[in-house]
Amino acid sequence: MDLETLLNRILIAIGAILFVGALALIAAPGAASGLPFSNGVIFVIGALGALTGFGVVRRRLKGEVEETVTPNPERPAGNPMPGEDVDRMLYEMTHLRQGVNENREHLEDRLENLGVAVIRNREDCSVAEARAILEQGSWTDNEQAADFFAGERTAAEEAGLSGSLLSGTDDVAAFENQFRVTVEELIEVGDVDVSHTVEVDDGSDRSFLDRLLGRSAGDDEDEDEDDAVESNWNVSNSSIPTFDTTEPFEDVALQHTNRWLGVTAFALVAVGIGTLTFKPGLMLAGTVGIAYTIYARVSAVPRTEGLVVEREFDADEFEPGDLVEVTLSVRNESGSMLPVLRLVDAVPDSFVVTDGTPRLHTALQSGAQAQIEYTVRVERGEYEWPLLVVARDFSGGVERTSLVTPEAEMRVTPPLRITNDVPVRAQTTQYAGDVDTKQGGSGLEFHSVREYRPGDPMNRINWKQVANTGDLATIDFRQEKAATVTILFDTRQSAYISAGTDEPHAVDHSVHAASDVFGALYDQGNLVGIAAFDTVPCWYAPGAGSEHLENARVLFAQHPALSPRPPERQDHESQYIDPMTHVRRRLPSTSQIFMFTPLADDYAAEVARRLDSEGHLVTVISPDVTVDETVGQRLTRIERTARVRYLRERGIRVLNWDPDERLSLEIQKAQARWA
Amino acid sequence: MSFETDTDEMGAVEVTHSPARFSSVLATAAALLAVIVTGLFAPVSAPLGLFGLAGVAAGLFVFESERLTIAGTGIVFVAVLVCGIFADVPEILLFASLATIVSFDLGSNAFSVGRQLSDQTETQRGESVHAAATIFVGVVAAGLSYGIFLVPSGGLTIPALALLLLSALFLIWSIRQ
Repeated sequence: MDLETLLNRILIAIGAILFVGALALIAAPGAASGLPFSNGVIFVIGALGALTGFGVVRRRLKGEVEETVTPNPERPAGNPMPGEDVDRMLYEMTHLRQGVNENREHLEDRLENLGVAVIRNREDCSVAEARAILEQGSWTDNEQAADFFAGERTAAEEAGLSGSLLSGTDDVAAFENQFRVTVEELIEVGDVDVSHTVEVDDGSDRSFLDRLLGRSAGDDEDEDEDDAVESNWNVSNSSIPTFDTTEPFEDVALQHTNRWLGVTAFALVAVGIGTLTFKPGLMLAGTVGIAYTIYARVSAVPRTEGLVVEREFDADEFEPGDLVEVTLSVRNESGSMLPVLRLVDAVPDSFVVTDGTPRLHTALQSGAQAQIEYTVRVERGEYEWPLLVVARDFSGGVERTSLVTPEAEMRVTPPLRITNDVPVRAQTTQYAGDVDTKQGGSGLEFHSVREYRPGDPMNRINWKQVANTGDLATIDFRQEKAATVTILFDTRQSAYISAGTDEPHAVDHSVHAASDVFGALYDQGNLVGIAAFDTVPCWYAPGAGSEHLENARVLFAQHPALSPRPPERQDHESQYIDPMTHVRRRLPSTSQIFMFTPLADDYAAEVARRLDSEGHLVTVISPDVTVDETVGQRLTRIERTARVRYLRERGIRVLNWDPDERLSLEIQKAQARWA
Repeated sequence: MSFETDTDEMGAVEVTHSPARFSSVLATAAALLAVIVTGLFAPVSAPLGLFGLAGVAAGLFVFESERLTIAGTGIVFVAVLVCGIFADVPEILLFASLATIVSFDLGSNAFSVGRQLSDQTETQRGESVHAAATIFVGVVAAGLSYGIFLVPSGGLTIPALALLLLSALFLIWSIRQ
């Protein structure tokens, strides 16, 4: 027994003795004469009570109720939108006055590299020439934009800059405006597709939040939904440390909620003022407050371990994107009543609830049962998730939080459906297959006629020529060989970007598309493998056979590198290991590459270029998740366009794929272009 | 496959966290009762009570601010105290303070339910059980203390009151953890 409980019990004992004394006095008023209470003492006690009461009120107004913060598992996970980093930097500079010099330097570098890329592409010149053009400012008519790249700033200007930053704000605002103007000019000069043009000089000031959410200043249509939850990560948006639990029942927290904090004030103030003014009615009124104070303290830990939870799905097999109806039934077998039950089904981050609510607030008597029904859009992976149970006693003074995990495993595997042909390039293996090669031999399509060599099969002898000239000749057909194709994913953290909170991110788009491409390639008789450049090594050597197909399905569904959740690591730049190392070491030299990447940074484009220069034929399939609302988003769109052009210049096939369109149609269109 | 399906019909449901409606309505009703009853017996307290009531209602329905709601309840209680000073009718004061505390509890419960669950959640059963428990406890406590109040013929003597007060203080301090 620690000191606090001892003190507590002593206080309770004294209080109880006084209470009994008071009852005795009420029953026998005559006995009071012997007690040492004058009116003055009573008065002081009354004033003391009232004062304590006001103190309690202050504490309540200042203090926080301690309760479990539940996640919002209905909402999609909030993946960043492309260009958010740029917008954040600008926001930091203009609104928070943080990192002004670093951010400015970074943004200038970035814009300069982009400018060089755009000019090179337009003028078809070397880097040095492009840089010269930029510095001269002859690339645009806009003076402000031309000024942006005009020469290095001198040391004096640097000093002047940091001086003025300390004093004023104009310089940063001017920089921001110039930055915007330059981005707009680059869009113009680089001929980049944007859905609308932006007036940069109008000075409309949008808040960072608005810009992050992609809203413009006058766009008030969803003003009412301002408090609606936009996105959710189960763990970071709740007070639960983790939802990964292997136990069927796990206690997370047991705490006093403090929700009755302040109710003593009703008692203290009423009784105090009642004593001061000699109004027994007020003292009587104060007793209700005392009663509730006691009620708040009479607490019992709710026996949630007696809850039996069952989760059922309306199907047995699931594919990504399926809408699954989930029925959750909760039965109270604890033998006692659970008066306050707040249930939140911790639907995995990658799932999105499309109908119903995975929550319930109820009270369950012993033996009673409640049901929750909702519909969820599932994503690839293997899942078993807990039900978050927040239970309280009658008064709500004690809160017990536990995770109950029913036995209901869900495995969502991509079907590897065959949609249509995928154009494979002419880099092949020795195995027979579907790809027409440039070599002559047995096959179907005519290749050439050559001189007969002993051993040539009789059915390939060109009998017409024999009849004409008497010389034996052999017809060669184009050999049909199988290709080795490695599907390579960019699954670094930077690839987990999406075009909006409700939209799937680029890795999801990539894996969905790749699972179709895989099926098609496999069906064409190619050897198909899977790899990802990420710090979690992902490598599945090209192969064939139904077992290979099945393994690939499982890998698409469960490999951590292809997970719908972004890795919790930082980008490769901070690490010594090049994420491509393990892939490059294992890649067969004859393998073609189908690379899925949103081309969100130069590294991805560089990987494609290097693989190409190592002799692999590379086809880049790039889901375009860039948007064009804010200046950062517009900047990333130009950057991505520049990367696509850079790769195409080097003869690398790039399929610039808008995820709203069907990939199979885009492939058909591209095939016509490539043929 | 999701990338080939129309995304419009697959959007996520909306989630908002306003105070739970049922408890909010009950809390406002309780505060209203307290204001009406005290206002009838001591019109002096009526403006103050209405002001507090406005705070409660605005905190629950307009600004969704728990602090405003609690402050509103506090002002309603001050109105009850004012009523007690000007019109010392024990039954009325007992009832009004009971209503105020019920309003306080249900108001804070509305916020708690709203935060932990959502507006779209079915919460009425849980809320009504909580409200019923609170009201039951309050009524029983008020009944008991009114019973004790009625027993001695001359009402409570000063020493008895002082002892009651002291015992209450000690109990409360022990309860403060």
